Amino acid sequence: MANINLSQSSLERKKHEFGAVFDRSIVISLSLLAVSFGSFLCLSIYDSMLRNRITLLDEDIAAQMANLDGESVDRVADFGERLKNIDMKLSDKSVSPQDMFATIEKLMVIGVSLDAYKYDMKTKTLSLKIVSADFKGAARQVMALKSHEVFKNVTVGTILKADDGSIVSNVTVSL
Amino acid sequence: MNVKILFFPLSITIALLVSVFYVKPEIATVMANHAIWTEKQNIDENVAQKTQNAIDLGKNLDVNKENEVMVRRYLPDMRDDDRIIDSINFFATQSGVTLASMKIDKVAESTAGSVPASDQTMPAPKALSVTVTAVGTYEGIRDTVARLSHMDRFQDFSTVSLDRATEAQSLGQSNVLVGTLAMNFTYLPKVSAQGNPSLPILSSNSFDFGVVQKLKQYVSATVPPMESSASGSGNPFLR
Repeated sequence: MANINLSQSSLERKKHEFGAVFDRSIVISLSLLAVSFGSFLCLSIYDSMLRNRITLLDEDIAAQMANLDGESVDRVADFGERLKNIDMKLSDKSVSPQDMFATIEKLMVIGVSLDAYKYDMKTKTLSLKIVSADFKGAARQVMALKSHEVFKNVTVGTILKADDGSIVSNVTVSL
Repeated sequence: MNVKILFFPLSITIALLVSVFYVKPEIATVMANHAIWTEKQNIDENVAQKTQNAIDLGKNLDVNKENEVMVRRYLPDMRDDDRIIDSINFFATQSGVTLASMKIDKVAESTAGSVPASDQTMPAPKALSVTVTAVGTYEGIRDTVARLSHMDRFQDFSTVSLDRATEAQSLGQSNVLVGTLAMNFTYLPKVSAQGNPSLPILSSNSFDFGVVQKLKQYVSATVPPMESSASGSGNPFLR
């Protein structure tokens, strides 16, 4: 085995190893470039698809909105709004004028009558001109009004003696 | 050979530059567009549902024409002075009350009656302010008020006042009163959808006709229809 050249085989081995590493680095480089450019390409294609879909959706939405603008839809919207307004009115819990009449009729004391009556539904006040034979009758009438749960505040204004001797009281009631 | 040695670092640099200046911004753009696409899909579904609801509501009205007529008669879309005058006169006469005067004021432009506009995009209801002076007994005026409250017309009382009729008192008729009734007759100008999918009514596919049933129970006083009796005579001053 005198003719075996050991130094030459190690040199070839080194060259071979160097070549293998160099080839790996080329593969890695090409892979990195492929991944980066490939990613960009795929994202661009997907973005383009998304934009197309958005455009189609915009067209579809516009077409459907056009369907909501016409006589038949106006009729529906008009009727719905009327129904809503009527429902709000029917749900109003304010004391109605006829209910107020009924309440006052029940609360009138014997011997006392009214000379004037005014029910203001906006300010929720009732103004009465009460006529009684004496001051006691007026006081009883005010007490009767105070006894009702709907009347929050009963205030007496002027109390005068009329020419015929009757007592005229101005009373204001808040609801 | 030198090129081959430089290739690896060069390719890393190029890959990095492409990633930072192209891939990363593109990712952000794709995400933003994806969010827009998702939102538009939701809008599209919503509008499709509303459109279908509008069709269903139209069919709902077609099979409830009687209710539709009643609602439009109760809350009309324009002022109807003639009907108001005729109704008040009819109810007063039925109750044995004499009408002394009737005043119809200009339409109130702001929110009318007790009902404000239900939606800012909807037209506001308007009202005709009517003040009536009636002479009769307490029972008669009270009945007139009750009939007017339950007539088949959207109206609200502002004030109701009763005073003793001084002239009648001097004649010994102490039961005769003068009633002053101030009312608002509301009407609602025609409403248009204007292609608006966010109208509350389009959230449902059927109307709540329970309101109409409540209305039928509430309305107890109706007036016979009035017919036009224009004579077409030549001289309008001829009595």
